[in-house]
Amino acid sequence: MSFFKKHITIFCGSGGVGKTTISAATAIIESQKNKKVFALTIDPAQRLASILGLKNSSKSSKVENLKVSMLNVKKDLTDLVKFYCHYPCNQESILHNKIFNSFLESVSGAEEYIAWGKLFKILETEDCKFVFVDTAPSNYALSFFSSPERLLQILEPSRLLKLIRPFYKQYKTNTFSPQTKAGTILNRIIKSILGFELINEVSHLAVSLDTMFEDFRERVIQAHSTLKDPHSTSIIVVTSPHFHSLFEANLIIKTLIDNNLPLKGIIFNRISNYHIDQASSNTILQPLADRIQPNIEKDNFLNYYLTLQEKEENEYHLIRKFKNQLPQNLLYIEVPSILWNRESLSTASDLLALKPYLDKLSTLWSHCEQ
Amino acid sequence: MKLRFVCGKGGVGKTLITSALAEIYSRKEKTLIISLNQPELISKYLDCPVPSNEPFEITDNLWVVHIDSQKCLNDFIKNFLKVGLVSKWIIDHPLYPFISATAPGLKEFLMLDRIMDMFFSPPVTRWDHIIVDTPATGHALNLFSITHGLKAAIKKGPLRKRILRIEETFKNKKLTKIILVTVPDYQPIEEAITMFDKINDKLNMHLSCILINMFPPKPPNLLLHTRSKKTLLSTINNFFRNIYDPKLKMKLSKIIEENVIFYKNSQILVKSLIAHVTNIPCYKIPYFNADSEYGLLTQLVKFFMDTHIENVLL
Repeated sequence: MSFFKKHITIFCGSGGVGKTTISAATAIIESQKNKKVFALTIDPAQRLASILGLKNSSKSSKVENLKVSMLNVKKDLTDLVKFYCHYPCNQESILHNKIFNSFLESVSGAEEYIAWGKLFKILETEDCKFVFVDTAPSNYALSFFSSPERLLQILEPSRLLKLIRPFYKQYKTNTFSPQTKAGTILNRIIKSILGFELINEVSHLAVSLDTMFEDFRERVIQAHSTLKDPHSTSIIVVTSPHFHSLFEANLIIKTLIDNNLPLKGIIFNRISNYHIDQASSNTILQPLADRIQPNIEKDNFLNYYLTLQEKEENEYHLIRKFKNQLPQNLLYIEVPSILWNRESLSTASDLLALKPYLDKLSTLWSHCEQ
Repeated sequence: MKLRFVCGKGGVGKTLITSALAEIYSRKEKTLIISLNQPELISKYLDCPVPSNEPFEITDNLWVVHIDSQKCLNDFIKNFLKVGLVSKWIIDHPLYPFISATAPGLKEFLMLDRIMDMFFSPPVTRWDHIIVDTPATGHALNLFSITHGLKAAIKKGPLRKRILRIEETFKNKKLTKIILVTVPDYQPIEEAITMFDKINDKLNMHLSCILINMFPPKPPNLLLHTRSKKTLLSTINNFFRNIYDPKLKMKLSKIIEENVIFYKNSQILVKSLIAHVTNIPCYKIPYFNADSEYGLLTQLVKFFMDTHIENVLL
């Protein structure tokens, strides 16, 4: 099996397609088979969160064999710094560093990096065989996936110091102050924009990271190569029969293929379940009109049926068109839209209604059963 | 001059709705669509070239532009630092993307600043109506709330003036409104309620209305008024009494049963939304069928015109 002796399944897709629900359902289904499962989720809805035992984030669920964790940016980043950095004084210095803190607050970037960091930590520390990851619906998730080098480059201490070196004639360890005129001006400009002395903060960060960086780098590279390895990882794209989700799914699939990432399957969620093809439809339509009991509601009823039929046809064709332009060796799963009365979604076993559809996924990791 | 932000969770139809509204506005006024999202989708809906960083007129009075936050930052550095070589060195440095990611709210501020520049263009080039397609809910809210933090950090200078310009414009009900889009499903409605609360409590902005998109078609009254699932099923089976193929009969019954339940759930969700968002008008937009993105837009435009919704949204 893989280096970490785990199989990882990652669900990607645009917003609103049902990734989180499907990821949670798959995790529950596998845990029912007496396998040790870990589910990492990004932002589940209230109802789903309480089913998984997540009401107060990062709590273990009550489903047997299943451990669940929800992403909490501040808490998880603190955990990660403590996980990779062995010296408490450096941990504190990093966590209080203004750059680190503004990184947390920035709209784009932090959440995705921390999610990956959390996944890497799970791979190293958790005693489980299967990990299911629900990703955020953005392309950052994938841009990091394709190469950790960018993040590693950013954090490499010697590079951090190189940024500021041209502005210094000389510097003493741990005490950085601009020695050149350009350095002074730059520092002042940056301070007025960002509100803190960037150069100072960068240098302190570099020093704090220095002790942990090599080890961190090695472990990130190991974890990342596991994610790229089709033997240990499966990526599933989730989509729904709407133009915008299919459109984004196309972009995601293209990114995955271009970067040689282990795309294994596509899940079409929210499909109208009972497709009646055009031919059958035509043969029954007029006779149907005749055969329905005549009453005042007849026309309304027929019109309603026709509307639904049209919707179903349309979605069916959208999906077919999309599917035809995809590589043929992928797993295709269709999950119907209304499986249960949504009001009744109150326990983990309610999600088991998805089992007949999602069970096929387990063929992707059957080689890991030992 | 009007500025409209179309906000909502991912996948609810913001881009389509933005495009349709803009198409209608452009019939009477010079209109600009600003995309803060991926620009390719708009080009599909409007059947036009992919929007670039410069406003481009796609048909009479209808313009589109894409604002890329990274490019905004690059341009800002170039203009602010003026010294070409230094700014080039900064932008090419491998650390630059990280630094730009960490500047608290800088990118977002620059995007809003660019929107303001376009809104307050000189009269010759000015647009009467600007409508913005925002990123998914969380990001849009962050976008609106950065002026608060920036105002505290930057106390004087030209940057402060520009921050205030954003704040004053957003506060002004006559100029700026938010249109919130959702779909009749649990999580989207939850998020819409959260967003409504945030807009009221934290942001100093005005919500024009809530659009509930992809609303399912209404079943005939006879099916709608059944009190139990058992009655529903028997009513449906009654209609199909003369169909003898059991498989076909089951399929037909199932399609109808599930959609009636879906409709009922949707109604309940919308009721809870309306109860919460007192005083804000809510409109249902039906689910449309089309075999192309452009076809979808055409139907939505027709719907808005037929129901005169766009008058309310104005």
